[in-house]
Amino acid sequence: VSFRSRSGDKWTPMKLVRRALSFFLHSKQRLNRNHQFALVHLFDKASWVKDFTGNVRSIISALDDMSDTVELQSFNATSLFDLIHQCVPLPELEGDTTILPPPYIVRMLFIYGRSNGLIEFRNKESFRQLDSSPYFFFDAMYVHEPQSPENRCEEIFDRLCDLDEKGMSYIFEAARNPTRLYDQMAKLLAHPLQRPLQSEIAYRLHNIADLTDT
Amino acid sequence: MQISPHFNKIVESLMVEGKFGVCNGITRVNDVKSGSSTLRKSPSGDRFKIYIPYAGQTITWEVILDNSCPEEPPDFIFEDSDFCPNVADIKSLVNWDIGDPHCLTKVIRELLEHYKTFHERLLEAHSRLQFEYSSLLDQTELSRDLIEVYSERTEKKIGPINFLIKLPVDFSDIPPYLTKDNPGENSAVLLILFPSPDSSRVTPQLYLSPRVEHAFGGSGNLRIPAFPSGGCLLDYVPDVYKLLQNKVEKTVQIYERRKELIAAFLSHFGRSVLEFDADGFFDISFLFEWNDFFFILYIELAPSFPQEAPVLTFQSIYHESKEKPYSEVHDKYPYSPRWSGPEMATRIKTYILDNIQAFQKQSVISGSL
Repeated sequence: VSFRSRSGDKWTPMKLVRRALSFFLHSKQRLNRNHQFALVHLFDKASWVKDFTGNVRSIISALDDMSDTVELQSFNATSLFDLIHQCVPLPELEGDTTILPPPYIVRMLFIYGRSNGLIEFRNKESFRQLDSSPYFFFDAMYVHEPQSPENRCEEIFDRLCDLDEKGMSYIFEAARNPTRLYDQMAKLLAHPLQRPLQSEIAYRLHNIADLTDT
Repeated sequence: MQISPHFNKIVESLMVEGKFGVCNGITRVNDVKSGSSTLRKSPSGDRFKIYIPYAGQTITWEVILDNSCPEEPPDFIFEDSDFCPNVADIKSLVNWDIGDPHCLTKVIRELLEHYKTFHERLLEAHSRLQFEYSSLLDQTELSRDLIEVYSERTEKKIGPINFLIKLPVDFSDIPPYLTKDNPGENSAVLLILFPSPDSSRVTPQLYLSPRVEHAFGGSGNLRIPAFPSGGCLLDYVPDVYKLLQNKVEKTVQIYERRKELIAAFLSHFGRSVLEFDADGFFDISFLFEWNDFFFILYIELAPSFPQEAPVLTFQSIYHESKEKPYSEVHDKYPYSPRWSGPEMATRIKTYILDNIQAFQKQSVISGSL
Protein backbone atom coordinates (compact mmCIF):
# COMPACT_ATOMS: atom_id res chain seq x y z
CA VAL A 1 0.00 0.00 0.00
CA SER A 2 1.33 3.43 -0.70
CA PHE A 3 -0.08 6.55 0.82
CA ARG A 4 -0.56 9.98 -0.57
CA SER A 5 -1.30 12.54 2.02
CA ARG A 6 -2.15 16.12 1.73
CA SER A 7 -2.92 18.15 4.74
CA GLY A 8 -5.88 20.47 4.87
CA ASP A 9 -6.03 24.08 5.92
CA LYS A 10 -4.27 25.87 8.72
CA TRP A 11 -5.73 24.06 11.71
CA THR A 12 -4.72 20.76 10.29
CA PRO A 13 -6.54 17.52 10.74
CA MET A 14 -3.06 16.25 10.03
CA LYS A 15 -2.75 15.00 13.57
CA LEU A 16 -6.01 13.13 13.21
CA VAL A 17 -5.03 11.62 9.92
CA ARG A 18 -1.63 10.64 11.33
CA ARG A 19 -3.25 8.81 14.18
CA ALA A 20 -5.78 7.08 11.95
CA LEU A 21 -2.94 6.05 9.64
CA SER A 22 -0.97 4.75 12.58
CA PHE A 23 -3.89 2.50 13.52
CA PHE A 24 -4.20 1.47 9.91
CA LEU A 25 -0.55 0.49 9.65
CA HIS A 26 -0.47 -1.45 12.90
CA SER A 27 -3.67 -3.27 12.05
CA LYS A 28 -2.63 -4.05 8.50
CA GLN A 29 0.64 -5.48 9.66
CA ARG A 30 -1.19 -7.61 12.21
CA LEU A 31 -3.31 -8.99 9.38
CA ASN A 32 -0.22 -10.16 7.54
CA ARG A 33 3.45 -9.59 8.33
CA ASN A 34 4.31 -9.42 4.64
CA HIS A 35 2.51 -6.19 3.82
CA GLN A 36 4.76 -3.28 2.91
CA PHE A 37 4.09 0.43 2.83
CA ALA A 38 5.51 3.46 1.08
CA LEU A 39 4.74 7.12 1.65
CA VAL A 40 4.38 9.80 -0.99
CA HIS A 41 3.83 13.43 -0.19
CA LEU A 42 2.39 15.95 -2.57
CA PHE A 43 3.61 19.48 -2.48
CA ASP A 44 3.60 21.23 -5.81
CA LYS A 45 5.07 17.99 -7.07
CA ALA A 46 4.69 14.46 -5.84
CA SER A 47 7.69 13.23 -3.89
CA TRP A 48 8.59 9.86 -2.46
CA VAL A 49 9.04 10.25 1.28
CA LYS A 50 9.56 6.66 2.33
CA ASP A 51 10.17 3.63 0.16
CA PHE A 52 8.39 0.31 0.65
CA THR A 53 9.06 -1.15 4.05
CA GLY A 54 7.44 -3.45 6.56
CA ASN A 55 8.76 -1.29 9.36
CA VAL A 56 5.62 0.44 10.55
CA ARG A 57 7.39 2.66 13.06
CA SER A 58 9.61 4.19 10.39
CA ILE A 59 6.61 5.17 8.32
CA ILE A 60 4.92 6.68 11.34
CA SER A 61 7.98 8.76 12.17
CA ALA A 62 8.23 9.86 8.56
CA LEU A 63 4.62 10.96 8.90
CA ASP A 64 5.41 12.80 12.11
CA ASP A 65 8.34 14.52 10.42
CA MET A 66 6.23 15.81 7.57
CA SER A 67 5.60 19.48 8.05
CA ASP A 68 2.19 21.01 7.53
CA THR A 69 1.75 22.21 4.02
CA VAL A 70 0.95 25.41 2.29
CA GLU A 71 -2.28 26.31 0.59
CA LEU A 72 -2.29 25.47 -3.08
CA GLN A 73 -5.04 26.17 -5.55
CA SER A 74 -5.34 22.79 -7.11
CA PHE A 75 -3.81 19.39 -6.93
CA ASN A 76 -1.87 17.96 -9.84
CA ALA A 77 -2.91 14.34 -10.13
CA THR A 78 -0.86 13.76 -13.28
CA SER A 79 2.42 14.29 -11.46
CA LEU A 80 1.32 11.85 -8.79
CA PHE A 81 0.43 9.03 -11.14
CA ASP A 82 3.52 9.70 -13.23
CA LEU A 83 5.66 9.22 -10.15
CA ILE A 84 3.91 6.03 -9.10
CA HIS A 85 3.98 4.56 -12.58
CA GLN A 86 7.68 5.26 -12.68
CA CYS A 87 8.59 3.93 -9.27
CA VAL A 88 6.27 1.07 -8.48
CA PRO A 89 6.65 -2.19 -10.41
CA LEU A 90 3.47 -4.18 -10.86
CA PRO A 91 3.61 -7.98 -10.99
CA GLU A 92 3.44 -9.54 -14.42
CA LEU A 93 0.51 -11.71 -15.30
CA GLU A 94 1.88 -15.24 -15.21
CA GLY A 95 0.35 -18.63 -15.50
CA ASP A 96 -3.37 -19.09 -15.14
CA THR A 97 -4.39 -15.78 -13.60
CA THR A 98 -7.82 -17.06 -12.69
CA ILE A 99 -6.25 -19.54 -10.28
CA LEU A 100 -2.81 -18.30 -9.43
CA PRO A 101 -2.64 -15.44 -6.98
CA PRO A 102 -0.04 -12.77 -7.82
CA PRO A 103 3.06 -12.49 -5.58
CA TYR A 104 1.71 -9.13 -4.38
CA ILE A 105 -0.67 -6.38 -5.40
CA VAL A 106 -0.25 -2.62 -5.26
CA ARG A 107 -2.86 -0.47 -3.63
CA MET A 108 -2.75 3.27 -3.67
CA LEU A 109 -4.42 4.85 -0.68
CA PHE A 110 -4.98 8.48 -1.54
CA ILE A 111 -5.67 10.64 1.48
CA TYR A 112 -6.89 14.07 0.51
CA GLY A 113 -7.70 16.91 2.86
CA ARG A 114 -8.57 19.87 0.66
CA SER A 115 -12.01 21.33 0.82
CA ASN A 116 -11.32 23.81 -1.95
CA GLY A 117 -8.48 22.48 -4.02
CA LEU A 118 -9.84 20.88 -7.15
CA ILE A 119 -8.14 17.83 -8.58
CA GLU A 120 -6.57 18.61 -11.92
CA PHE A 121 -5.98 15.62 -14.08
CA ARG A 122 -4.83 16.58 -17.54
CA ASN A 123 -2.76 13.66 -18.68
CA LYS A 124 -4.20 10.31 -17.67
CA GLU A 125 -1.64 8.17 -19.49
CA SER A 126 0.20 6.91 -16.39
CA PHE A 127 -3.02 6.33 -14.54
CA ARG A 128 -4.43 4.29 -17.41
CA GLN A 129 -1.30 2.18 -17.58
CA LEU A 130 -1.43 1.44 -13.87
CA ASP A 131 -5.16 0.88 -13.81
CA SER A 132 -5.02 -1.58 -16.69
CA SER A 133 -3.33 -4.09 -14.40
CA PRO A 134 -5.63 -6.37 -12.40
CA TYR A 135 -3.10 -6.06 -9.59
CA PHE A 136 -3.38 -2.30 -9.12
CA PHE A 137 -6.02 -0.72 -6.93
CA PHE A 138 -6.94 2.86 -6.16
CA ASP A 139 -8.62 3.72 -2.86
CA ALA A 140 -9.31 7.14 -1.41
CA MET A 141 -10.06 8.76 1.93
CA TYR A 142 -11.37 12.29 1.64
CA VAL A 143 -11.25 14.39 4.79
CA HIS A 144 -13.03 17.70 4.46
CA GLU A 145 -14.97 20.58 5.98
CA PRO A 146 -18.68 20.11 6.37
CA GLN A 147 -20.21 20.79 3.02
CA SER A 148 -21.33 24.37 2.41
CA PRO A 149 -21.78 26.81 -0.48
CA GLU A 150 -18.35 28.21 0.41
CA ASN A 151 -16.45 25.07 -0.41
CA ARG A 152 -16.31 22.55 -3.22
CA CYS A 153 -16.37 19.31 -1.28
CA GLU A 154 -19.06 17.65 -3.29
CA GLU A 155 -17.36 18.43 -6.57
CA ILE A 156 -14.03 17.16 -5.28
CA PHE A 157 -15.58 13.97 -3.99
CA ASP A 158 -17.24 13.37 -7.35
CA ARG A 159 -13.91 13.80 -9.09
CA LEU A 160 -12.39 11.24 -6.76
CA CYS A 161 -15.18 8.80 -7.55
CA ASP A 162 -14.49 9.32 -11.23
CA LEU A 163 -11.09 7.74 -10.70
CA ASP A 164 -12.81 4.47 -9.84
CA GLU A 165 -12.96 3.34 -13.45
CA LYS A 166 -12.91 -0.37 -12.69
CA GLY A 167 -15.55 -0.25 -10.00
CA MET A 168 -13.23 -2.01 -7.55
CA SER A 169 -12.20 0.97 -5.43
CA TYR A 170 -13.14 1.97 -1.94
CA ILE A 171 -13.76 5.70 -1.79
CA PHE A 172 -14.69 7.14 1.58
CA GLU A 173 -15.19 10.59 3.01
CA ALA A 174 -15.37 12.06 6.48
CA ALA A 175 -16.23 15.61 7.46
CA ARG A 176 -13.67 16.17 10.15
CA ASN A 177 -15.43 13.72 12.42
CA PRO A 178 -12.76 11.72 14.22
CA THR A 179 -14.81 8.61 14.89
CA ARG A 180 -16.00 8.48 11.33
CA LEU A 181 -12.46 8.90 10.07
CA TYR A 182 -11.28 5.96 12.15
CA ASP A 183 -14.23 3.86 11.00
CA GLN A 184 -13.58 4.59 7.34
CA MET A 185 -9.86 3.95 7.64
CA ALA A 186 -10.65 0.61 9.25
CA LYS A 187 -12.84 -0.32 6.28
CA LEU A 188 -9.88 0.43 4.07
CA LEU A 189 -7.96 -2.40 5.74
CA ALA A 190 -9.81 -4.90 3.60
CA HIS A 191 -7.66 -6.72 1.05
CA PRO A 192 -8.67 -5.64 -2.48
CA LEU A 193 -8.60 -9.20 -3.78
CA GLN A 194 -10.78 -10.58 -1.00
CA ARG A 195 -13.10 -7.75 -0.01
CA PRO A 196 -16.65 -7.28 -1.27
CA LEU A 197 -17.46 -4.34 -3.54
CA GLN A 198 -18.01 -1.11 -1.67
CA SER A 199 -21.71 -1.31 -2.42
CA GLU A 200 -21.88 -4.72 -0.71
CA ILE A 201 -20.08 -4.10 2.53
CA ALA A 202 -22.01 -4.72 5.73
CA TYR A 203 -20.38 -4.67 9.14
CA ARG A 204 -23.27 -4.64 11.53
CA LEU A 205 -23.43 -7.57 13.89
CA HIS A 206 -26.88 -8.76 14.68
CA ASN A 207 -27.77 -10.45 17.87
CA ILE A 208 -28.94 -13.90 16.89
CA ALA A 209 -31.87 -13.61 19.29
CA ASP A 210 -33.00 -10.39 17.58
CA LEU A 211 -33.05 -12.06 14.21
CA THR A 212 -35.09 -15.05 15.26
CA ASP A 213 -37.69 -12.88 17.00
CA THR A 214 -38.50 -10.85 13.88
CA MET B 1 31.75 -24.55 -26.86
CA GLN B 2 28.49 -25.33 -28.57
CA ILE B 3 27.15 -28.67 -29.65
CA SER B 4 27.49 -29.43 -33.33
CA PRO B 5 24.17 -29.02 -35.20
CA HIS B 6 24.30 -32.75 -36.08
CA PHE B 7 23.65 -33.57 -32.45
CA ASN B 8 21.44 -30.71 -31.27
CA LYS B 9 18.22 -32.67 -31.45
CA ILE B 10 19.42 -35.71 -29.59
CA VAL B 11 21.06 -33.67 -26.83
CA GLU B 12 17.98 -31.50 -26.45
CA SER B 13 15.82 -34.58 -26.20
CA LEU B 14 18.09 -35.94 -23.50
CA MET B 15 17.90 -32.73 -21.49
CA VAL B 16 14.13 -32.39 -21.79
CA GLU B 17 13.00 -36.00 -21.60
CA GLY B 18 15.91 -37.55 -19.80
CA LYS B 19 14.31 -38.06 -16.43
CA PHE B 20 15.54 -41.33 -15.16
CA GLY B 21 15.30 -43.43 -12.10
CA VAL B 22 13.65 -43.20 -8.75
CA CYS B 23 13.97 -39.45 -8.48
CA ASN B 24 12.96 -38.55 -12.00
CA GLY B 25 15.80 -36.11 -11.89
CA ILE B 26 16.90 -34.11 -14.90
CA THR B 27 20.05 -34.99 -16.75
CA ARG B 28 22.51 -32.13 -17.14
CA VAL B 29 24.87 -31.69 -20.01
CA ASN B 30 28.14 -29.84 -19.62
CA ASP B 31 31.76 -29.57 -20.55
CA VAL B 32 31.23 -29.66 -24.28
CA LYS B 33 34.39 -30.23 -26.31
CA SER B 34 35.36 -31.01 -29.85
CA GLY B 35 37.18 -34.12 -30.91
CA SER B 36 38.61 -32.49 -33.98
CA SER B 37 41.95 -30.77 -33.67
CA THR B 38 41.36 -28.15 -36.32
CA LEU B 39 39.70 -24.91 -35.36
CA ARG B 40 36.35 -24.39 -36.97
CA LYS B 41 34.06 -21.40 -37.14
CA SER B 42 30.84 -23.30 -36.76
CA PRO B 43 29.91 -25.08 -33.52
CA SER B 44 31.49 -28.50 -33.56
CA GLY B 45 31.13 -29.87 -30.08
CA ASP B 46 30.84 -33.62 -30.29
CA ARG B 47 31.89 -34.77 -26.88
CA PHE B 48 30.36 -33.79 -23.60
CA LYS B 49 29.70 -34.91 -20.08
CA ILE B 50 26.33 -35.85 -18.72
CA TYR B 51 25.38 -35.78 -15.06
CA ILE B 52 22.68 -38.14 -13.92
CA PRO B 53 21.21 -38.32 -10.44
CA TYR B 54 21.29 -41.90 -9.23
CA ALA B 55 20.86 -43.38 -5.79
CA GLY B 56 21.65 -40.11 -4.05
CA GLN B 57 24.81 -39.54 -6.10
CA THR B 58 25.47 -37.79 -9.35
CA ILE B 59 27.15 -40.03 -11.85
CA THR B 60 29.22 -38.54 -14.62
CA TRP B 61 29.51 -40.18 -17.98
CA GLU B 62 31.30 -38.84 -20.98
CA VAL B 63 29.61 -39.19 -24.34
CA ILE B 64 31.88 -39.24 -27.38
CA LEU B 65 30.41 -38.71 -30.82
CA ASP B 66 32.15 -37.79 -34.04
CA ASN B 67 31.28 -34.63 -35.88
CA SER B 68 32.83 -35.93 -39.09
CA CYS B 69 30.79 -39.15 -38.94
CA PRO B 70 27.59 -38.19 -37.15
CA GLU B 71 25.80 -41.49 -37.95
CA GLU B 72 28.31 -43.44 -35.89
CA PRO B 73 27.03 -44.46 -32.45
CA PRO B 74 28.74 -42.85 -29.43
CA ASP B 75 31.47 -44.19 -27.21
CA PHE B 76 31.26 -43.76 -23.50
CA ILE B 77 33.67 -43.18 -20.66
CA PHE B 78 32.22 -44.21 -17.32
CA GLU B 79 33.85 -42.74 -14.24
CA ASP B 80 33.47 -46.13 -12.63
CA SER B 81 36.06 -48.21 -14.48
CA ASP B 82 34.58 -51.50 -13.29
CA PHE B 83 31.37 -50.80 -15.16
CA CYS B 84 31.93 -52.24 -18.61
CA PRO B 85 28.73 -53.37 -20.28
CA ASN B 86 28.94 -55.39 -23.43
CA VAL B 87 28.02 -53.19 -26.39
CA ALA B 88 26.14 -56.05 -28.02
CA ASP B 89 23.80 -56.05 -25.01
CA ILE B 90 22.79 -52.42 -25.50
CA LYS B 91 20.10 -52.80 -28.12
CA SER B 92 19.54 -49.11 -28.68
CA LEU B 93 23.27 -48.71 -29.31
CA VAL B 94 23.28 -51.55 -31.79
CA ASN B 95 20.29 -49.99 -33.52
CA TRP B 96 21.64 -46.47 -33.31
CA ASP B 97 19.79 -44.17 -35.69
CA ILE B 98 20.94 -40.56 -35.66
CA GLY B 99 17.69 -39.61 -37.44
CA ASP B 100 15.71 -40.52 -34.32
CA PRO B 101 15.85 -37.56 -31.91
CA HIS B 102 15.41 -39.93 -28.96
CA CYS B 103 18.24 -42.25 -29.83
CA LEU B 104 20.64 -40.87 -27.23
CA THR B 105 17.97 -40.82 -24.53
CA LYS B 106 17.19 -44.46 -25.24
CA VAL B 107 20.83 -45.46 -24.98
CA ILE B 108 21.31 -43.66 -21.69
CA ARG B 109 18.21 -45.25 -20.30
CA GLU B 110 19.42 -48.69 -21.26
CA LEU B 111 22.89 -48.04 -19.92
CA LEU B 112 21.41 -46.91 -16.64
CA GLU B 113 19.51 -50.15 -16.39
CA HIS B 114 22.76 -52.03 -16.78
CA TYR B 115 24.44 -49.74 -14.30
CA LYS B 116 21.71 -50.41 -11.79
CA THR B 117 22.10 -54.16 -12.25
CA PHE B 118 25.85 -53.77 -11.89
CA HIS B 119 25.40 -52.17 -8.49
CA GLU B 120 22.81 -54.70 -7.44
CA ARG B 121 25.29 -57.49 -8.22
CA LEU B 122 27.98 -55.79 -6.16
CA LEU B 123 25.85 -56.42 -3.10
CA GLU B 124 25.97 -60.16 -3.59
CA ALA B 125 29.43 -60.37 -2.07
CA HIS B 126 28.15 -58.97 1.21
CA SER B 127 25.54 -61.11 2.87
CA ARG B 128 24.12 -58.43 5.12
CA LEU B 129 23.58 -55.95 2.28
CA GLN B 130 22.32 -58.64 -0.01
CA PHE B 131 19.82 -59.62 2.64
CA GLU B 132 18.71 -56.01 3.08
CA TYR B 133 18.14 -55.58 -0.62
CA SER B 134 16.44 -58.85 -1.42
CA SER B 135 14.22 -58.80 1.66
CA LEU B 136 12.95 -55.37 0.65
CA LEU B 137 12.09 -56.69 -2.77
CA ASP B 138 10.61 -59.99 -1.70
CA GLN B 139 8.82 -59.12 1.49
CA THR B 140 7.48 -55.60 1.06
CA GLU B 141 5.31 -53.94 -1.55
CA LEU B 142 8.31 -52.23 -3.03
CA SER B 143 9.15 -53.11 -6.59
CA ARG B 144 12.58 -52.98 -8.17
CA ASP B 145 11.90 -49.73 -9.97
CA LEU B 146 11.46 -47.96 -6.64
CA ILE B 147 14.89 -48.87 -5.31
CA GLU B 148 18.36 -47.80 -6.39
CA VAL B 149 21.59 -48.97 -4.78
CA TYR B 150 25.08 -47.59 -5.11
CA SER B 151 28.33 -48.73 -3.56
CA GLU B 152 31.35 -46.48 -3.32
CA ARG B 153 34.48 -48.59 -3.83
CA THR B 154 38.15 -48.01 -3.27
CA GLU B 155 40.96 -50.50 -3.54
CA LYS B 156 40.77 -51.51 0.06
CA LYS B 157 37.15 -51.26 0.99
CA ILE B 158 33.57 -50.82 0.00
CA GLY B 159 31.44 -48.08 1.44
CA PRO B 160 29.44 -45.97 1.91
CA ILE B 161 26.58 -47.84 0.32
CA ASN B 162 23.44 -45.94 -0.62
CA PHE B 163 19.92 -47.27 -0.79
CA LEU B 164 17.54 -44.80 -2.41
CA ILE B 165 13.92 -45.83 -1.94
CA LYS B 166 10.85 -44.14 -3.30
CA LEU B 167 7.95 -44.63 -0.90
CA PRO B 168 4.65 -45.33 -2.65
CA VAL B 169 2.65 -42.96 -0.42
CA ASP B 170 -0.70 -41.81 -1.74
CA PHE B 171 -0.45 -38.04 -1.94
CA SER B 172 -3.46 -37.47 -4.13
CA ASP B 173 -5.46 -35.50 -1.55
CA ILE B 174 -2.66 -33.20 -0.50
CA PRO B 175 -3.83 -29.56 -0.54
CA PRO B 176 -2.86 -27.61 -3.66
CA TYR B 177 0.27 -25.50 -3.65
CA LEU B 178 -0.45 -22.45 -5.72
CA THR B 179 2.74 -21.21 -7.22
CA LYS B 180 3.71 -20.26 -10.74
CA ASP B 181 6.75 -22.51 -10.60
CA ASN B 182 5.49 -25.99 -11.22
CA PRO B 183 5.97 -27.77 -7.91
CA GLY B 184 6.26 -31.04 -9.77
CA GLU B 185 4.89 -34.38 -8.80
CA ASN B 186 4.44 -35.40 -5.19
CA SER B 187 7.01 -37.77 -3.82
CA ALA B 188 8.78 -38.98 -0.73
CA VAL B 189 12.19 -40.54 -1.08
CA LEU B 190 14.24 -42.21 1.61
CA LEU B 191 18.03 -42.22 1.32
CA ILE B 192 19.74 -44.70 3.61
CA LEU B 193 23.48 -44.75 4.04
CA PHE B 194 25.50 -47.71 5.21
CA PRO B 195 29.05 -46.53 5.98
CA SER B 196 30.29 -50.08 5.41
CA PRO B 197 28.67 -53.46 4.72
CA ASP B 198 28.39 -54.49 8.35
CA SER B 199 28.10 -51.12 10.07
CA SER B 200 25.35 -50.50 12.56
CA ARG B 201 25.54 -46.70 12.24
CA VAL B 202 23.01 -46.53 9.47
CA THR B 203 21.76 -43.01 8.64
CA PRO B 204 18.41 -42.37 7.00
CA GLN B 205 17.32 -39.13 5.34
CA LEU B 206 13.89 -38.28 4.04
CA TYR B 207 13.37 -36.04 1.02
CA LEU B 208 9.93 -34.63 0.29
CA SER B 209 8.86 -32.88 -2.90
CA PRO B 210 7.96 -29.16 -2.53
CA ARG B 211 4.20 -29.57 -2.48
CA VAL B 212 4.32 -32.28 0.16
CA GLU B 213 6.72 -30.23 2.28
CA HIS B 214 4.46 -27.22 1.97
CA ALA B 215 1.43 -29.26 3.04
CA PHE B 216 3.29 -30.54 6.09
CA GLY B 217 4.12 -26.97 7.09
CA GLY B 218 7.78 -26.86 6.20
CA SER B 219 10.82 -29.09 5.97
CA GLY B 220 11.36 -29.41 9.69
CA ASN B 221 7.94 -30.72 10.38
CA LEU B 222 8.30 -34.43 9.93
CA ARG B 223 10.79 -36.37 12.01
CA ILE B 224 11.57 -39.89 11.04
CA PRO B 225 12.85 -42.27 13.68
CA ALA B 226 16.55 -43.08 13.81
CA PHE B 227 17.55 -46.39 12.32
CA PRO B 228 17.57 -48.83 15.22
CA SER B 229 20.95 -50.45 15.81
CA GLY B 230 20.69 -54.05 14.80
CA GLY B 231 17.60 -53.20 12.79
CA CYS B 232 16.97 -53.88 9.14
CA LEU B 233 15.37 -52.15 6.20
CA LEU B 234 12.65 -54.75 6.05
CA ASP B 235 11.23 -53.38 9.30
CA TYR B 236 12.38 -49.79 9.08
CA VAL B 237 11.19 -48.83 5.61
CA PRO B 238 7.57 -49.97 6.11
CA ASP B 239 7.56 -48.09 9.45
CA VAL B 240 8.57 -44.85 7.74
CA TYR B 241 6.05 -45.51 5.00
CA LYS B 242 3.25 -45.93 7.54
CA LEU B 243 4.37 -42.81 9.38
CA LEU B 244 4.19 -40.79 6.18
CA GLN B 245 0.86 -42.21 5.11
CA ASN B 246 -0.59 -41.35 8.52
CA LYS B 247 0.85 -37.88 8.38
CA VAL B 248 -0.71 -37.34 4.97
CA GLU B 249 -4.09 -38.48 6.18
CA LYS B 250 -3.88 -36.33 9.28
CA THR B 251 -2.71 -33.29 7.30
CA VAL B 252 -5.52 -33.65 4.82
CA GLN B 253 -8.10 -34.04 7.58
CA ILE B 254 -7.06 -30.99 9.55
CA TYR B 255 -6.70 -28.95 6.39
CA GLU B 256 -10.29 -29.81 5.48
CA ARG B 257 -11.43 -28.84 8.98
CA ARG B 258 -9.74 -25.45 8.73
CA LYS B 259 -11.18 -24.86 5.30
CA GLU B 260 -14.64 -25.80 6.54
CA LEU B 261 -14.43 -23.36 9.43
CA ILE B 262 -13.15 -20.47 7.33
CA ALA B 263 -15.91 -21.17 4.79
CA ALA B 264 -18.48 -21.12 7.58
CA PHE B 265 -17.20 -17.76 8.83
CA LEU B 266 -17.28 -16.39 5.30
CA SER B 267 -20.82 -17.52 4.86
CA HIS B 268 -21.85 -15.75 8.09
CA PHE B 269 -19.72 -12.65 7.72
CA GLY B 270 -18.47 -12.47 4.13
CA ARG B 271 -19.51 -8.86 3.76
CA SER B 272 -17.35 -7.80 6.70
CA VAL B 273 -14.17 -9.61 5.75
CA LEU B 274 -10.83 -7.82 5.87
CA GLU B 275 -8.41 -10.61 4.96
CA PHE B 276 -8.11 -14.36 5.18
CA ASP B 277 -5.51 -17.01 4.46
CA ALA B 278 -6.68 -18.53 1.19
CA ASP B 279 -3.74 -20.93 1.03
CA GLY B 280 -3.66 -22.84 4.32
CA PHE B 281 -6.85 -21.38 5.85
CA PHE B 282 -5.09 -20.55 9.09
CA ASP B 283 -6.67 -17.16 9.77
CA ILE B 284 -9.45 -14.76 8.92
CA SER B 285 -10.28 -11.28 10.17
CA PHE B 286 -13.32 -9.07 10.14
CA LEU B 287 -14.42 -5.52 10.82
CA PHE B 288 -17.60 -5.49 12.90
CA GLU B 289 -19.95 -2.76 14.03
CA TRP B 290 -22.12 -2.98 17.09
CA ASN B 291 -24.18 0.07 18.06
CA ASP B 292 -21.92 2.42 16.13
CA PHE B 293 -18.88 0.87 17.78
CA PHE B 294 -16.49 -0.59 15.21
CA PHE B 295 -13.82 -3.13 16.10
CA ILE B 296 -11.62 -5.72 14.40
CA LEU B 297 -11.79 -9.41 15.14
CA TYR B 298 -8.86 -11.71 14.28
CA ILE B 299 -9.49 -15.45 14.24
CA GLU B 300 -6.40 -17.62 14.16
CA LEU B 301 -6.12 -21.40 13.89
CA ALA B 302 -3.12 -23.23 15.26
CA PRO B 303 -1.62 -26.24 13.44
CA SER B 304 -3.17 -28.32 16.20
CA PHE B 305 -6.68 -27.16 15.35
CA PRO B 306 -9.27 -28.62 15.77
CA GLN B 307 -7.82 -30.03 18.98
CA GLU B 308 -7.00 -26.51 20.03
CA ALA B 309 -9.71 -23.84 19.87
CA PRO B 310 -9.35 -20.92 17.45
CA VAL B 311 -7.75 -17.90 19.11
CA LEU B 312 -9.93 -14.80 18.97
CA THR B 313 -8.43 -11.32 19.25
CA PHE B 314 -10.58 -8.24 19.62
CA GLN B 315 -8.84 -5.06 18.53
CA SER B 316 -9.89 -1.45 18.99
CA ILE B 317 -9.69 1.05 16.16
CA TYR B 318 -10.00 4.03 18.45
CA HIS B 319 -7.94 3.36 21.56
CA GLU B 320 -4.30 2.58 22.03
CA SER B 321 -2.32 0.90 24.72
CA LYS B 322 1.49 1.02 24.76
CA GLU B 323 1.63 2.67 21.33
CA LYS B 324 -0.34 -0.09 19.68
CA PRO B 325 -4.07 -0.49 19.19
CA TYR B 326 -5.72 -1.87 22.31
CA SER B 327 -6.48 -5.56 21.95
CA GLU B 328 -7.68 -8.54 23.93
CA VAL B 329 -6.94 -12.20 23.29
CA HIS B 330 -9.66 -14.72 24.02
CA ASP B 331 -8.63 -18.34 23.77
CA LYS B 332 -10.60 -19.95 26.57
CA TYR B 333 -14.23 -20.10 25.72
CA PRO B 334 -16.83 -22.87 25.43
CA TYR B 335 -15.49 -25.06 22.67
CA SER B 336 -15.44 -28.63 21.44
CA PRO B 337 -13.33 -30.02 18.62
CA ARG B 338 -16.24 -32.26 17.75
CA TRP B 339 -18.43 -29.44 16.51
CA SER B 340 -18.75 -29.02 12.78
CA GLY B 341 -17.39 -25.88 11.11
CA PRO B 342 -20.81 -24.23 10.83
CA GLU B 343 -21.61 -24.99 14.47
CA MET B 344 -18.28 -23.59 15.64
CA ALA B 345 -18.87 -20.41 13.64
CA THR B 346 -22.32 -19.94 15.12
CA ARG B 347 -21.13 -20.48 18.66
CA ILE B 348 -18.18 -18.17 18.25
CA LYS B 349 -20.52 -15.54 16.88
CA THR B 350 -22.63 -15.82 20.04
CA TYR B 351 -19.51 -15.54 22.16
CA ILE B 352 -18.45 -12.39 20.30
CA LEU B 353 -21.85 -10.77 20.76
CA ASP B 354 -21.78 -11.62 24.45
CA ASN B 355 -18.40 -9.99 24.93
CA ILE B 356 -18.44 -6.84 22.81
CA GLN B 357 -19.84 -4.59 25.47
CA ALA B 358 -17.18 -5.60 27.98
CA PHE B 359 -14.49 -5.16 25.34
CA GLN B 360 -15.77 -1.71 24.47
CA LYS B 361 -15.76 -0.62 28.10
CA GLN B 362 -12.33 -2.05 28.69
CA SER B 363 -10.85 -0.41 25.60
CA VAL B 364 -12.08 2.98 26.79
CA ILE B 365 -10.66 2.48 30.29
CA SER B 366 -7.36 0.89 29.40
CA GLY B 367 -6.69 2.70 26.18
CA SER B 368 -5.98 6.29 25.39
CA LEU B 369 -7.58 8.33 22.65
